[in-house]
Amino acid sequence: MEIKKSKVNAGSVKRFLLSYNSIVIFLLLLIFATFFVGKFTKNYDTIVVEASLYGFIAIGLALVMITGNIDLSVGFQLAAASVITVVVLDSTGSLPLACAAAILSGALMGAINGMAVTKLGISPLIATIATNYIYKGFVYFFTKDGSFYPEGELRNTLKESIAGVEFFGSEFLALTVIIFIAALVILFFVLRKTKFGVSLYISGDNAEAGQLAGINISRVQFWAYVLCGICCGIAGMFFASKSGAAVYTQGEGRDVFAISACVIGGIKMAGGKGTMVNVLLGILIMRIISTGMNLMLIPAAWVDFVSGAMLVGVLIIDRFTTLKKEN
Amino acid sequence: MKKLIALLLALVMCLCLAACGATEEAPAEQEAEAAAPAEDITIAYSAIAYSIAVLPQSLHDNIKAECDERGWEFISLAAEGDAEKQSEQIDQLIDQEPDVLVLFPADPVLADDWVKRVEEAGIPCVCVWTDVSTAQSSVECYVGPDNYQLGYNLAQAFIDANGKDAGLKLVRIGGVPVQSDYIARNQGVEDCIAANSNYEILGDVAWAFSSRADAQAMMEDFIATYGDDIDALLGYDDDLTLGGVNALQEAGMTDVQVYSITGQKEALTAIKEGKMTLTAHYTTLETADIVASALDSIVAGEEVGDYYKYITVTNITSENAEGVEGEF
Repeated sequence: MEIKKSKVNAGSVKRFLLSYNSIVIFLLLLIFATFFVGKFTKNYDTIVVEASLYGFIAIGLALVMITGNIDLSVGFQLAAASVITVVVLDSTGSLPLACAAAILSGALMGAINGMAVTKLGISPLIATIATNYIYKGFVYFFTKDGSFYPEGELRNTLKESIAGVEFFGSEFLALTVIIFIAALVILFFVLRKTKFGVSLYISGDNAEAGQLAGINISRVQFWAYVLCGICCGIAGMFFASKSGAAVYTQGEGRDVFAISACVIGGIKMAGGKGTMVNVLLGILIMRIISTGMNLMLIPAAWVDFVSGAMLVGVLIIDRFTTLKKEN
Repeated sequence: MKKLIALLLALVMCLCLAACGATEEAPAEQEAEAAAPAEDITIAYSAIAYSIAVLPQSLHDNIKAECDERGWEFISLAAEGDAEKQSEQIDQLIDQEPDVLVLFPADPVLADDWVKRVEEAGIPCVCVWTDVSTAQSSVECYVGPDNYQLGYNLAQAFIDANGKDAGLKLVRIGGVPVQSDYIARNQGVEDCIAANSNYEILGDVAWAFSSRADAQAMMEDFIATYGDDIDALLGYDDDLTLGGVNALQEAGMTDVQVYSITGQKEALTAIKEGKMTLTAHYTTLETADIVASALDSIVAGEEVGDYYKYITVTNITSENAEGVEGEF
């Protein structure tokens, strides 16, 4: 009986490790950085806060990737939402209105992407590259003369009201961190426990079978893009608050970060697999690499190199295991 | 098998991190030992970028040389043009507890917050190349060119050479549109042309970011649009202006006057060969020298003097190009 129990436990551990092999990478990196990178422990809070800022675009993208699609415009959706936050705050003086506008603009951008992919039947890659240029142009229009920020006291209001809020004086309990964790938990249960969540997986795993089973795959994929846009809207609001301004470079390179975080975390490019835990692990791995290498005074280009090398490695593993299963 | 590969990858990753760290830190340690510092002074340098622009790298090398000469430790990080990344890097440089932070900011408005954080950490800050003017109170001094005046003087040199009533038409090529030094240079050019001549500016500035190839393509667009109407090209950075020169040469428009800024080796050669008219030449060597003087004062606990410490700019034409060496 005891032997059977230990076999079950070993099987569970194996299954867990197969599902979350990124946890091994995460733990090794964390242990290495903690013991061998000077002042790394002082930066635990920074990693958590930065993860909450950058993480929203990764969790949004994960929803799209689970359906088997991709969104390469997440970076400039974020930057465009940041611009909208500043524009609305500057013109109305109302922060709640500015936040609502940022989220709605994200939903609108996501809906445009969703329409292009599901209604017009354009390849997700091409559609989102095209819309990325549109969002980029929009951001450039407002930021071409430098940072775009609300005048006077409104800038301080923006900085102090969202990204500047901490509870009990702890950065671990920053408002952005709390909202990010809440979003992760909600989406975790949406994916696991709701019909919509299951439909997202079926859309990525076997859309044809899903269609035959009566699932409106186009609608599911459309709403995945809208949710992704909303996540980008929230991220844009966070970035605008953190800097007190909309900046052109807020959108640069974020798509690569989000894809890397998702894939390294364990979201499959082919769709149909992955959970919010995978995304969280991917985000934390990326932040540990970035912070650790900064503290080691390694040039940013090397951070990109290491992140890219890790992404390639994970994709090779992904391909290797897929082939093994097919065989 | 999959787990094994994942573990191996993670180990390789850790080794990469360790190896990268070792190669960065070892020379600094050796140099610090060789110089035998009388006191442990650390100077941190936060730069906008190294890989996408030559000037911050050249500035890095020259400031590092000044620090090495004094036996100070020099540490640096570059953000590759990403303002958010530079914000994070500044926090991580603050964690290294330097005695002074030299800042070449990606964005002067956001840098306002950065210098406040540096000040809160009790670290004096010196700004180079991009002025964080709104935060003067917490910055010891600014070292670099007066970018507005640089643009204004460039346009004035062009007007002086041709006469204010010549009715010439010009196009412009700039670098990164959202960067304050380029914005200031462009403003200087526009103000000078409007105030002192009857010249016409054709089209908007062609912002080529950091790509000479893009600058060349943009100049080709100007040629296709305006053709022989173009009398002059005003560029805000030699590296990009040279892309414009390539386009002009290929189109056979060798009579177009070309004015630019920086004083790069290739630009000086182009002036000697008659392909360019003028470049406003400055050196990062002088900039680093002024920065080092400011650092000397700060380390000694003395006042640094004037807030604005502008570097020397010399207009180089075919008449005085001989013997002038570019830094990069």
